[in-house]
Amino acid sequence: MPADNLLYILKYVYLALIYLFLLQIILLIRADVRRQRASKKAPSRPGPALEIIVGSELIDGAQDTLLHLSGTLIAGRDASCDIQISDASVSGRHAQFTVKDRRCVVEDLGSTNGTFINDIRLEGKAELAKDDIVKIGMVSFQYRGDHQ
Amino acid sequence: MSKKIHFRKAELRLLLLLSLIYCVGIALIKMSHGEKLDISVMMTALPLLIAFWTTHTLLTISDSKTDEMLMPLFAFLSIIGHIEIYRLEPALAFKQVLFILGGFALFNIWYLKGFDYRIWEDYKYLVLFSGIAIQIAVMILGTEINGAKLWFRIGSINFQPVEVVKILVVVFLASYLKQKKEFITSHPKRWLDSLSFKYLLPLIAILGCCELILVVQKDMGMALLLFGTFMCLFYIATERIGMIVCAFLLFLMSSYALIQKFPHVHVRFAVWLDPWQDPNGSGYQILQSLFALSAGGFWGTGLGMGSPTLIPAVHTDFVFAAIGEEMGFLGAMAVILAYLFLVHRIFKVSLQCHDEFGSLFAAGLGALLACQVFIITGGSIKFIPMTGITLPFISYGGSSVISNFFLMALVFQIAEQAGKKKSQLLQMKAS
Repeated sequence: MPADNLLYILKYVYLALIYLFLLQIILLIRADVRRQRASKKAPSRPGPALEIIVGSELIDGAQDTLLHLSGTLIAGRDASCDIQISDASVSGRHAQFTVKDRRCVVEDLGSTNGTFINDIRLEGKAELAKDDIVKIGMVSFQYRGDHQ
Repeated sequence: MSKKIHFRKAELRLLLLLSLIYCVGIALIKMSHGEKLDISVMMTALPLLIAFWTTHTLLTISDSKTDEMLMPLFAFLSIIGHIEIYRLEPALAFKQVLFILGGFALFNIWYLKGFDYRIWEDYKYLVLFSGIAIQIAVMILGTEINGAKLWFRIGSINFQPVEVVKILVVVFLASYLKQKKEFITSHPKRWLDSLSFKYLLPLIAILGCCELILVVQKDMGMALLLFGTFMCLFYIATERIGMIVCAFLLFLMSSYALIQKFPHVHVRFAVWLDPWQDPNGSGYQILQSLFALSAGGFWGTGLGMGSPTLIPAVHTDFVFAAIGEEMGFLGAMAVILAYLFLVHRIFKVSLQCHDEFGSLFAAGLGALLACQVFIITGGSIKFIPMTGITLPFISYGGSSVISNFFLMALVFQIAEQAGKKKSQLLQMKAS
């Protein structure tokens, strides 16, 4: 009987469609897992970086809460600064971060209200150690050094 | 800022496929009933098609940042459920459609307008006590069906409060564990230390509750479900495997004692060990289920061509056996896979969530769903003793369907929060 044949075929079509649906889901999950893996890989070059722990909204153009450091960077209120902080208690040119051989040295550029490392006012320059907290005005950074 | 509509393309594609599956399924059953294929296929399928396309549209309009696989997955499970009920009990199928529609309505309203899930956290003891109050009320005022007092009867509608209570329990556990996990994990990691009484107290308390439900309410499914969910959530929050092992051993020992002591539990257990002791009485149901599964084989007999209605209570407790018979091993596997993916996506939401309560809450809901599926499918295939709980989204029953949609609405609320945070970060990156 033709009706029976049709039923017979439909039974397999039905199962096939269900598995097509599940296959789509599997593909989507795979794409999702790959995307996640890729985004995890990106920041795995552990160069020195500053993580903004307080006041990321005061920093102009902060791409992320993580600032990757290289060369010489100046932090301050002026628009010409590399790390521009919109906070009245920050001097125009406040502090300078210099990275050389994967070490980071921070120098206070004669700011009015000072640069603090672990709550101690910085005199002149100092090298940052892992997890040091640098405070400039209302913004706090934590130093993420090499993880090796 | 320009407002651009974000089309949920993956969801759209999945739903198109789903609509096709649904129509083919309905057509199959109509044909096996000997009816002609005509516009009536569309008419039967229409209400649910409208429901999930509306949901899709609402999610797109509200610019939802939630996972695009979640909605098609539970829509898939609920249409499999409707097709199966339509096959098994055509008279009840329309009611099931109404339940699913109600579920979708609640889902949309709650997701779009319901209050923030974070409020739950502040009212955790209120939530706990209302859960206990509902359980006590059903013990006193409930209607007895099949020897267990688990239902409220309002007019002609039977309402199973356990389905609500299970979600309340997850709310409580998530907020409780968020608060207490520091305390629990503060002691040394040697697992013998975890035997000390004060750390085990919450475990013992929940164990006591489960056993109480088992003895007083004769609801083995609920007791297992609560216990399983609690264990999962406790492990996720504290990562103490030693305590889980302790609790599990305690559970086994106390269950053994209860099996010896209480006849109604003992019967279930004896049937699980050897259904042939009483093939026409207590063993009948599970034997029919096993026959159905073996009749299905790999490809199944085809929808409408088996005889799953021989199993008593097939549309509620043994719907999995019916799927196994008529859609075969492949169909049963597909359903399990769909649950697996659904739970996987819920755990993903939990991992993405930034606040701790939301994260634990989502994990708890995922664990709840996973445990429920394990307990009922395991029961149907005689892997564990059979307990009468529903297969989420598929089994016939209003309280079950609606509470599972509510569960998904909560997951969506958490996912929305997690998604918002993520897109904010992405915007920062782009600027």
